[in-house]
Amino acid sequence: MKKIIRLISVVVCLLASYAVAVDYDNDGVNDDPYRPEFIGYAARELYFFIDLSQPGRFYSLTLDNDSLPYTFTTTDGFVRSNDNDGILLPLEMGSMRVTIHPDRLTEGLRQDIASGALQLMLIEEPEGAIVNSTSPITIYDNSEVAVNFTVANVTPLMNTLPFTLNLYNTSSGSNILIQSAETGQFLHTADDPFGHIVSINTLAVHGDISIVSADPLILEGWAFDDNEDMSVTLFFKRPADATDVEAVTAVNRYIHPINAQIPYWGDTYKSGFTVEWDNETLRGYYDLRIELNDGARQVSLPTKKIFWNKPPNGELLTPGYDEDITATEILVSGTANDLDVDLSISAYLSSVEVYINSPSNMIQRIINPEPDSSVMEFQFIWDTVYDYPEGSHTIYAIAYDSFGLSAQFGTRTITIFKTSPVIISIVPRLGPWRGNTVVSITGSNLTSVNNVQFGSVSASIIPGTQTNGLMQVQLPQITDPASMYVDVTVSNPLNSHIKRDGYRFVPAELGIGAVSDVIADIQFNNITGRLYLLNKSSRQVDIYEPLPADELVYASTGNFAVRSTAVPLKMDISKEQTTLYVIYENLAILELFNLQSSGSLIDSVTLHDNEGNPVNPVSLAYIMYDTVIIGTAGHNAARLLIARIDTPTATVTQVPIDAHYDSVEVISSSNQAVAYIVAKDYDTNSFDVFIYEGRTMLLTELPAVIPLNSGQVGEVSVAPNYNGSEFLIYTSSDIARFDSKGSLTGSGLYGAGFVTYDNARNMAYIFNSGEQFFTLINPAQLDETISHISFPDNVSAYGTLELDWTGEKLFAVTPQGIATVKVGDIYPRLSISPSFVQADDTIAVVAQNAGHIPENINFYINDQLQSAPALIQSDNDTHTFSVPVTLDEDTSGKVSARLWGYASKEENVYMMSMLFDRIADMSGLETFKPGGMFFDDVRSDLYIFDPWKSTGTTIARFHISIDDQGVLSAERLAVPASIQVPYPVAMSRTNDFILAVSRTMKRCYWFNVETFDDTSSAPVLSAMVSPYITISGVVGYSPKLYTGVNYAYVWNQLSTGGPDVYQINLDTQTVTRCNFISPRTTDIIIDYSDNPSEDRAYAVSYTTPNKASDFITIFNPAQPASLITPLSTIQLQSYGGAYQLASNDEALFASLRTMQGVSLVMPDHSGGNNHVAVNILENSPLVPQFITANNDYLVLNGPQAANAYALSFIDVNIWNDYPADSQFDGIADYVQGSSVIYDMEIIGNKLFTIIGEEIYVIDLLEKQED
Amino acid sequence: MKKTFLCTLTLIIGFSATVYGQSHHYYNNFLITQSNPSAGSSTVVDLIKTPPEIAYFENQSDISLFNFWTSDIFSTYTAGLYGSGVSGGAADILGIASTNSLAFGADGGAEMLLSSFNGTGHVFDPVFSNYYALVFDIANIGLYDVDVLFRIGPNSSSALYSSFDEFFTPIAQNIVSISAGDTATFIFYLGLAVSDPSIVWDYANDPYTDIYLNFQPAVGAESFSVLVDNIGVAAVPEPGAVMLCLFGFIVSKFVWRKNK
Repeated sequence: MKKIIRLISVVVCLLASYAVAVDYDNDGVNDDPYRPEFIGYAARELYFFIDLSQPGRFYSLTLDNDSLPYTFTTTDGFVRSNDNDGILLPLEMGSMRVTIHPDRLTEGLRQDIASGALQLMLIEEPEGAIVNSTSPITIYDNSEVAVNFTVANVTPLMNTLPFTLNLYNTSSGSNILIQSAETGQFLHTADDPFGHIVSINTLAVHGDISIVSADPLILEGWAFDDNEDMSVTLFFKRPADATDVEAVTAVNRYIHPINAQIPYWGDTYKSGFTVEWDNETLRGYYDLRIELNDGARQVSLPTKKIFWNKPPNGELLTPGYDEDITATEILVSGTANDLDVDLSISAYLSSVEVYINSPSNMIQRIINPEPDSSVMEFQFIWDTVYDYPEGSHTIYAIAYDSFGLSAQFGTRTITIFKTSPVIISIVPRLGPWRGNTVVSITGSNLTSVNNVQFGSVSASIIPGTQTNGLMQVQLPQITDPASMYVDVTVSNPLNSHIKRDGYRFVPAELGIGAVSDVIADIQFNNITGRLYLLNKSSRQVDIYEPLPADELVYASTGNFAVRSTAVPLKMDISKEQTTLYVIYENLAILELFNLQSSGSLIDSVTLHDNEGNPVNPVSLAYIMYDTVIIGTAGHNAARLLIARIDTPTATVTQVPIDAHYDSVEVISSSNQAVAYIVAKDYDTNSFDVFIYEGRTMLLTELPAVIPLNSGQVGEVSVAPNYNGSEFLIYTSSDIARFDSKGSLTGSGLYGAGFVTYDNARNMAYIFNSGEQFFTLINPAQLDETISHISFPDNVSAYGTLELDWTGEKLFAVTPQGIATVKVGDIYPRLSISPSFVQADDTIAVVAQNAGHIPENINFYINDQLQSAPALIQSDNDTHTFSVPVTLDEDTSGKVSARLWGYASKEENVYMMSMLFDRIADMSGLETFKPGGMFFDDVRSDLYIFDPWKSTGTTIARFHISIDDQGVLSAERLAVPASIQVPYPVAMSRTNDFILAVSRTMKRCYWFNVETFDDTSSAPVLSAMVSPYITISGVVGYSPKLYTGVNYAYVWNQLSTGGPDVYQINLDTQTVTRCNFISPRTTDIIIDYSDNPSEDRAYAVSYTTPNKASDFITIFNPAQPASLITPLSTIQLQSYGGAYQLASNDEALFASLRTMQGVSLVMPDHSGGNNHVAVNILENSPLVPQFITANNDYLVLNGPQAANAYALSFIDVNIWNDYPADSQFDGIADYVQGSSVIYDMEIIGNKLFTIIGEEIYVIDLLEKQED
Repeated sequence: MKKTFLCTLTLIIGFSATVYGQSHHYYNNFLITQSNPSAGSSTVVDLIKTPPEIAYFENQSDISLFNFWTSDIFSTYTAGLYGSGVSGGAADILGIASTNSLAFGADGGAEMLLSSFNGTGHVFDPVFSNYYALVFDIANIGLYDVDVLFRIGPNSSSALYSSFDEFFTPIAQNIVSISAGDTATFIFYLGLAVSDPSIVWDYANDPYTDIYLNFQPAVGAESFSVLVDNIGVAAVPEPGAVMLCLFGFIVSKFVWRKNK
């Protein structure tokens, strides 16, 4: 028993010393990280009991201090060896030695021992223990025998193992079972598992912290236990947490290699384990603990500190998704972030790398400049875009942290375009400055456009409209309104394309106050500037006027009522703009309202046909001579009525047209000289066009037609130009242009609901009610339109359009108010200098309001494009060109310009040539200074005389011929020598006599031109009034019906105080004073009729200034002087100024040389005294001396300033001037200079005039109304 | 005393006249042509000039009082201030020293007209109530003889003196032909007052008074050039007293010849 106690003590001591052996610093803490639990392990002893109290104890047993020595190591450096402490620990090999003491044996046993019959063996191998010596061990005498055994896997619930030894005698067969359990002796197997964490999938190690990342977290290690099925569980917790949480239990066990055999297991023990933990949410610091659990005992392996590092992430801001890249360089930007930043362990966001297409194409690597920040913003200019081909590419970024973890982000598909956007066209090219205009841009590479500029105005790209070839933008209201051309710029990040002058802002405004859609008609008053709206709902005329501060903003300022019992239908305005004419639906009444008297009713005119039946008016048009043409409707009963309202009682006359028409519509030219009539026959879907000329009061049917679709006749309408010289017929699908004869001159395959000409230019506007725009067209090129232009704010307008006379403002009725568009600003404005040129001259043409690109301006002369204009200078949008005149000397023309198709007004170019350049025979004319001229229209001979020459050739004669093309030819003819009177001052013709007056001889001379032609030596006769009277002029009298006498009239400009007109009887050479008071007669002209008794001579006299007015005396020149009495006198509105007379078919003109201007005289041809004489052109700077006229032109000349003699051409047709308060248009002024301009004659289409010492021939343009 | 004055005056006139002309003529025997006098009320208002001056042509403004016309549209005239006056003659009658005159010329006939009313006021008193005569001088400084026709007084047939009779036939007595280089003094007797029975101022027919001069170069002559000067109203003696002037004229001619 003492031995046992001693043995136990020794074991305890050994175990204690062993335990102490791993506590190097004696602090009670295990210092061996690889054997943390051995101290516990040592506390469990393995006892081997021998019951010595049993009889027969003849042996002694020595428990070896562990058994056979061995050692094994693991690959990670763990070393395990038996410690020979007497206690069998797991995986140790146990051994015990049994010594038989023969002296304690029976003799037999001794013998048996001696014979080797006594054997010992371990039987009944306990669970979990394996005796590796199962063969009997023969016991010899007292020698000891050893029984070795190992412990196998033992159920962890079993803490002790009983051993049974069988000592038996082979000779006797007897045996003794030595059962330790019977004596309460067991082999203690209460062992703890042990193990070791070999590795964590660590990125790095900082101190005792393992940096791990990624998913799953993997811990690898090994663990041993008798129970191979022990569990390995991972627990985690935040360092600051008190308890940890199970993460995962490993299931993967495997053989962990060791370098030696271990008892029982050899090298097959699956000590290795792998713990995999996949957790995407945890990051940062954690304490990890592996717990080994063999089912009964839990052993924790040393805690592992980890920093669970997760990959960074990011976001790419630019470029965007599916972005088109057109720039050579673009901005790449974005942000990267990393939540696992701790510089103490060197955890931070390291960098971002941007790639295109593949990892081999890194664009840029950006190092994080602020590693302590969890967010890294990055951007750089990618300037190598062009290194990659056009097309689709993938761009992406990768963010890296300091441990090399990365994340890809920002994958974008981009398309690289290496070409710039190009603008081909902009539609419309015009727009109101009020904005809201939608503009289409066609071109190429427009997809990439991200900015569109109209000048300084940014346009909004309308989403979804952008394609490669087309895009739409919307313009805002411009903040600095101006009428201007602007450049249009489309830009992508790569490049821009500029369309110079690509767009023009046009002044346009909406009026104040809504306008309802019950407006039947709209009419502009060109004198007052008022706008009249015929309101069929309230049955009144609404008056609109512009605000004082803005000429384009119209507001209602009043109204006046029309007939309340009928619906007003149409209206028109008189030429004087003082009377408004209104017709009503289904009412045979035309009413006149006084616009100068608050719209008071002037008259109601009953409309009826020639049978007295009332009619149904549907259209009206005012034309010259206070005539209103009215079209009516009715099945096979449409009529055309002429209402003359220039008489106290209006008269209505039906103009005969066919009876089958169903509707007659009339529209006048803007100058109200003619009206066009469309007579429609709904039964046959056909129409006829007529023209009614106000001057002649003639109705003429024209052959003008356009194709009609079925039932389309109702759409047919006509738009005349301003003077009716051409017109358009249009429907909703077709438009065609005709001259006033009805000949087709052009057509287009489009139509409109309404068409109107520009009054000043070769332009027209088309419009459909309800649309938001109107369209500009060139009537001469109907095959395409020019541009459309939106109304302000893109509002819709209804009804029709209205233009002012000058073509400056266009009006439309919209629900948002009167829309006023200053269309006049669209067009270039020309001025030319000089207007009078000779062949091969050049003219300076100044084009204002013409944009900024001179090359865009096309010049035309007589509609022929000029190819050689040379730019002289440019100043903003004003350009001066030198344009060679390509006209011949006999063909004057018109210069015009077009810019983007916008036509300027036409400017006249008058071709001048010198008569003498066409004359071969100039003999005797070397010192000839022409001053006066007389055209003998019987022979077409032009006599030129020199009133300052006394001898030699004082009178020259030229035969003038002008062919149908206006080409002039001239030939010099002879005159009798005796007619070469000194100082000739006047010439004329009486029947066959050519007359000439000599100032110094105070005589009138004449010769018979017929005789002269025959003999070349005709006698020249003469007569004198008095040696004290200088004859001032002469006029021959050649009645259409020869009276048998030959009279001429001469006059005395220097007053005798009384009659200064004398009749010369050429047959008798007698001079007789005409007995009427005509002091200071300065001119006489004769108006011939078919009956000589109705011929009238007009003698103009001027009076002493400040006394009585000048006057014209009318007498019959066919009478003998003794019988002549003044038939009438016409008092002029001048005093001492009337000088020369000129006339045409309608009027008489007298130059007023002291008052400036001209007296326009309309004699009362009825014989009464109701003459009209008004002064015109009073504001002209020219002091007229010579004057001439035909039915188109009135031409004056005289000084208009010192050393500035000028010719002034006046449009004598007052109907070309509209409205009537500007009576005549000055067409052109030719300011010559210091050379005096003398006499003039209009011959055919040529003006012959003497300027200085030359005779110029100026080709007169055909008038616009011709 | 009066005779002495006139004699002296005549001598002065005579000698002074030699400055310009080969001959100096006085013309005062004009035929009164007024045919239909009809007296009316005076409308004299706002005189611009104070009688006796009407137009002495000492400055440009006097020229602007006149209207000038030529015979035809091709003919031109000149009417400017000339740097020498016409002395003797009317200047002496008026008692003035003339230093400037109107030079008037034209290539053909021409006329000059002074209308009393110029639109804003009356240039001179048409009544001449305190004076006897209208006087002026004309010197022919041209190359050709020139006929001077006139009309004095209201316009038309109411004129006091006209070169044409009531039938507008020239009256030789009332047409003065001035040879080239000669000078003529024109004296038109106007009567002492409106009540003077010898002359009736025809207000009714024409309240405006004209002084109208028409220069007609002789037939064939190309031009005329004259000096017109010293238009005024003065108390000129009856024609008998003027004989003394003729004496003075003879003396002056003698002196001229001697000086030649």
